[in-house]
Amino acid sequence: MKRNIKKEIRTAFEPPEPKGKADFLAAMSYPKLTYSEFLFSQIGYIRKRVWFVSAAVVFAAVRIVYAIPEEAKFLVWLIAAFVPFLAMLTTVEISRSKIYGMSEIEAGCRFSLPQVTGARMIILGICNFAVIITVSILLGNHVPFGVARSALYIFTPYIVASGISFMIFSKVKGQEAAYLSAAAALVVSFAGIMVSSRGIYEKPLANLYIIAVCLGGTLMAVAQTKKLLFGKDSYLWN
Amino acid sequence: MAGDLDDIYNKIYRYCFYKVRNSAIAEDITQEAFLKYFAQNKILKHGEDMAYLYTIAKHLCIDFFRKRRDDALTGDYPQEDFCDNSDTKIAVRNALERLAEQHKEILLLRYLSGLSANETAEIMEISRFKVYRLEKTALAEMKKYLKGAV
Repeated sequence: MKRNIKKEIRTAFEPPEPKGKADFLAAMSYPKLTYSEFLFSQIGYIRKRVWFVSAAVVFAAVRIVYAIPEEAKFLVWLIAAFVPFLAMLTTVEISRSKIYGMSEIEAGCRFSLPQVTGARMIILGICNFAVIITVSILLGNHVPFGVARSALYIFTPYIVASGISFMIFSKVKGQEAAYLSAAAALVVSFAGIMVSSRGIYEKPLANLYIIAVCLGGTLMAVAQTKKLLFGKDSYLWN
Repeated sequence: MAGDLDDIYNKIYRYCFYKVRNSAIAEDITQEAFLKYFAQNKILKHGEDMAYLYTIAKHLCIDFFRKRRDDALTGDYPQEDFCDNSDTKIAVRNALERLAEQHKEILLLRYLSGLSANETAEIMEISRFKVYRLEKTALAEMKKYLKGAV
C-alpha cells in the first residue's frame, strides 16, 4: 500500500516537462573552484589512517629521542624500516580510484583523474617529505653520522618502496595491486633491517651504494609518476 | 556536476510545481532559486546544500503567493496545468490537500522529490526519527482520506 501511495502521489503531481531546463543549465554561470581550492578540497578525501601513520612516526621519534637519546641510532634503522609502509599507504591512497574501479567515473569529472591524482600526490608528498625531514633533523642531532646521512638512510627505503609500488599499480589492476604493494613494502623493510643489522651502513663505500640505490629509486618513482599522470591510460576516458 | 545539477533541477522544479501548480511559474522560481544559491555558493552537493536550495525555493514560493494575493484582486493569475486529471489523480491531490501542513511537506519531499530521510530532516529542521514518524502518520491519514473518497 505504501508503495502504491508513493507512486500515486508521484504521478498525481507529475508536472509537465520543464521547457527551459537545458538552456538554463547550459547558460548558467556558477562560480567554479579555483585550482588552489581544488587542491585543498582533496585534503578532505585522504583517509584518516594516512595522517595517523605520519603523525605516529613523528610522535614516536620525538618521544623516544627525548626519553632515551642514546637509542636514536637504533631509531633511525627502525624508522627506515617503517617508512616503506608509509610509502605503500601513500601509493594505495593515490591509486584508490584504480583499486575500486572508479577511474572511469573520476576521469569524466570537471577535474580529470590525472589532476585528482596529481593533487593527492602533491599533498601526500609534501606531508611525507615533512615527516622524513622532521624525523631526520630530530634524530640527526643525536646520532654520530648527522642529519644528512639520517635523511638519506630514511629516505632511501621510502623512495624505493614508492617506485616499486607505483610500478605495481601501473601493471596490476584492482585490489591485487594493493596486496602486491604491501608485499613490496615488506620486502624493502626487511632488506633495510638486514642491511642495518649487519652494520653495512658503517662500512666504507656503503654510502655510495646507498646514494646509488636512492637515485635509482627516485628515477623509478619519477618515471612511474609520469606514466601515471601523463600515460595514455589516464586520458582514455577523458 | 552537470548530470547532478540536472537531477537537482528536476527535484526543485517538482517541489515548486506542487506549491504553485503552474509549470511556467515553477520553472521561473526554480531558476531564480538556482541563481540565488550560486550567487553565494560555489558548489552544490546533496545534503546540507540541498536543504539550503530547498529553503530558497520555499521562500520564493511564499513570495509568489504574497504577490498573487495582491494580483487576485484583478484575477490575473495563471491556471493549474497538471499532466493528468483522471479521477484517481484528483482524489489523491484532494486527499493530500486535506493533510496538515507538516504532513503534506513530508510526503512532498519524500515521495514527490524523492529525497532521503536525512535530506528531508535537514530541510525541515527536524530529526530523522521525527521524519519517519510524521511520514507514517501522513500515510495513514492519506489512506483514510482515500478510502473515504473511493
